[in-house]
Amino acid sequence: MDVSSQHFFADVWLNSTLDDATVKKITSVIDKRLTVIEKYECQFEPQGVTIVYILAESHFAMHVYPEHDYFTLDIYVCNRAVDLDDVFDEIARSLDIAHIERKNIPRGNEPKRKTGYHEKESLSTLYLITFVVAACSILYELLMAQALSAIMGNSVLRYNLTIGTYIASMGVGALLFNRFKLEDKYLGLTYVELFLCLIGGFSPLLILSFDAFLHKVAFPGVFSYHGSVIQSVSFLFNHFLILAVGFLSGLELPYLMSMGKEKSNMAEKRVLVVDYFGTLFGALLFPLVLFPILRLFDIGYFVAILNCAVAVFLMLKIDKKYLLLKCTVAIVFGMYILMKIYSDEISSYFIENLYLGV
Amino acid sequence: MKKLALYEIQIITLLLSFCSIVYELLLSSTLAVITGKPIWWQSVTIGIYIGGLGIGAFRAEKKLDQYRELFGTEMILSFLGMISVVLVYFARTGFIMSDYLTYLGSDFHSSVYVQNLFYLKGIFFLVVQSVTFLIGMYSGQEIPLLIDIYQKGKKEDKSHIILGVNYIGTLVGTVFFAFYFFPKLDVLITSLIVSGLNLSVCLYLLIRRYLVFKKHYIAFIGVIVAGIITISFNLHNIEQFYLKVTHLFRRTIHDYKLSYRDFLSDLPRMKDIERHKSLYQYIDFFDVQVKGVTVEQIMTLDTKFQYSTWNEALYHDAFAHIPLGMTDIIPDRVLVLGGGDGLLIRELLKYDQIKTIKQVELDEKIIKMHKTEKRFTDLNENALNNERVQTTIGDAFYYLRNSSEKFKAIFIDFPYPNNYNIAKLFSFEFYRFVERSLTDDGFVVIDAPVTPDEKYNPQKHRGRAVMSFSFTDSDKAYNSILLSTLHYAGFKKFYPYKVGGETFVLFRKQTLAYNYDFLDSGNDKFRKVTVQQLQAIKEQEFPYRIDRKYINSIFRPRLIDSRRF
Repeated sequence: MDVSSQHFFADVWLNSTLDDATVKKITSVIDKRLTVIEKYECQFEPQGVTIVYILAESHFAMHVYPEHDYFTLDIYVCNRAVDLDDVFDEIARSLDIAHIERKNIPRGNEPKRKTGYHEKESLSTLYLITFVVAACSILYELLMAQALSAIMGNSVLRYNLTIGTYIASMGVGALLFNRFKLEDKYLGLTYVELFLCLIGGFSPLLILSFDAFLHKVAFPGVFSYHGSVIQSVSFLFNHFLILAVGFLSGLELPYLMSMGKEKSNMAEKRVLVVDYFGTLFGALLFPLVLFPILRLFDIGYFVAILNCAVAVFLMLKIDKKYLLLKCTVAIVFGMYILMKIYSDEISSYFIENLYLGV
Repeated sequence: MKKLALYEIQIITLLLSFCSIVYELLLSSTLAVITGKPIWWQSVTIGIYIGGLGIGAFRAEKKLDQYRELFGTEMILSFLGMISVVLVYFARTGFIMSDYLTYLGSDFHSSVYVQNLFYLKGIFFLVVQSVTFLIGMYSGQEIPLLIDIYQKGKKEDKSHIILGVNYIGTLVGTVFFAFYFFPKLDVLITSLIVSGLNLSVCLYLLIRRYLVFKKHYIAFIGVIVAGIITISFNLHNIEQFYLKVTHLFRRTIHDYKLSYRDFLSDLPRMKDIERHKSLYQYIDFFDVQVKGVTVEQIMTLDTKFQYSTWNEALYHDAFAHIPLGMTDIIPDRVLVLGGGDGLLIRELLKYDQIKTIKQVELDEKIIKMHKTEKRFTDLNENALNNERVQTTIGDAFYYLRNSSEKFKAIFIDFPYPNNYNIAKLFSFEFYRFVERSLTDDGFVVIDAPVTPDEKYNPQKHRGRAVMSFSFTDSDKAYNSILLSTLHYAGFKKFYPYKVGGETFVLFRKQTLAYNYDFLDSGNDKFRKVTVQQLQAIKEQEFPYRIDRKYINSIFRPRLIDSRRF
């Protein structure tokens, strides 16, 4: 049975006098919008009222301070369907309000006993993961834009197209999140990070290899390399890569935000902010540090290693029965480290044979 | 109060997300082209924009009057969008003037200049990126607001529809910008169009009475409309202001006795800079005048100097005749990469033994102008229309990569590698293609930025000392990068030389001898270069080191330092 519910609180200071007519306005909205079963009211001396309604949805309570033109109310409903903010907005519209303090707290979040073993993760670790994941996300995008510049030329056009495609596909990822998400957030995010590592980290090599393949397949006359057929195929493949990385990146934030929501609404919002700062950091890191120092392929390995480290960390939080997944993550992590170490040899091979050899 | 219908909200969302991404691309592309450092500015701009989006989304609280909030946000965005490009132009112009004036007060290598430059760059960065941030922030507020408006009174969470429309709008905006706005309309006009689109949403809300009308709304709208009209009538002036300062300030400020006020007040009187936009670059032509008299005419590509009528004869003499003379090779077929101005080819045509000149040039517009317009065909003596010349339009990099022809002489006339796109043409991979296209006894000559070690060498330009050289470690590193790249690409014997301020590198695959006697006599083909200048070449020294770490590869560019991205 679903026990998720919400509890709405409001403290309201009015400009006008808080009289019976005003209180009537408030309660009439509750009458209208919610299902009232019983009403209780207690008048105090010299002034002050407490009103409690039993609702089918649970309860409504209000205390009035006529001497301060101030009242407090709370509404508890045992579902998430009713828009309590909207109910209160309707109340607020009929009043002359000086100041409001309001809060809407979700209740009844089930602990995740069924889906795996987690320790209580501290908030700061969540923020750190969000920061790293966001930075890696933008780094993949910039990496691919630069790889395409190297292979196809005209870097301003490449960057423009890559940025737009990336943002759009991130949005599609966020949009379709509900259809793709897994109940166990940690498991789901681990899968996302694993796929991102594999595609994003190898993207410069993939782009280079596919381009070389097209060169081999092309021959002048019919399927010229510069002809529209091959160029379209090249364009589609490269942008498919961008779409894939963007889509996966788009799935990340909803997972992280729901992890934050488990703690509190505030944490959920903070995850969003940390995500954007991570993006900014990645966007500065690329031109200032990574690009001047590392070879393009190496930047791919570096970002993939970071990403994989996050996956390794998440992996420790999920059930032992996903042994295959855990092994895969560990193998990928090790592979990228090896590739970084032997980067010179690997890059020379690729450049000599696939790029220059055609 | 009326409520927006569902389809209206969706259309508005589409429009606003379209405008939002176009603003970002506009700023990053304008900054990339104006500064000549695309990688740095594009990366940073997208980062700050996304940061702004985040802050905007974070700040978006449930507002009571959402229509008023939307109206306000769109007004601000419309205003910011309108001034964005103009601000970048003006800020850059101010930067250029301040930079050069500071430079004149101190030495190029001095710490005072470097410090001042840092502050100037910081100010420029802050000015332009605060606009980026604000646009990002207000754009970030849009989506939560629109979702709120859409969701009102509905039980189900339908926010994903708005998110979906938002991303369609983003994709459409990207494609429009990349393929239409940027190449065809250019940035100033685009900023006005998009600003107008934003404003139209405000007007729609107002006219259809979705919010309470207040008198001061008229004032805001009036300001923006007035701004758009003013800018659209002054497009030419704004662009000329930026161009004249960029091209003429450094070259003529001495004539105004370093008074920038005199320079600025004289600006309208100066002859307009001619700007053409090709598919790849901005091509500018302009006169440099002293006291109203034209002393030289200059062509630039993306504001980088290409040739000047004042010294091009000397330059092309050194480019064409010294290599042919020193290698004792006059082949019947030569390859020329670049050189769309036809000036190098003019020199090569003087040799009857050269029967075919194959040319590969990227920019069709440059070729067309130098083939058909009298002022250019006079200069290059109609070289490009000569029957011995075969011109192919294309990217030299990909041409060589796909070619199997071999030549005995290759002349490479590219712009200096100031940014990543051109640095590709000075890369290890490119020189490997060159090596494949060269016969074993052939030679290649490139116009390259190597530096000789000269103790003190004041350059005189119209009687005034402009620069003094001192050979630094970074000069040596720069030499090493180019020469190491050549070495590992397969060219073991290279000979750099400098004539009249211009440097070249002549190189071959094998260690065959060069004819040094040629430097004592020259030949009859030279127009400007003197025998003394030829002999001076023998004394020149270009310090360098060969090491793998210096290789400039397209996968790890070395030839441009990070400050030049």
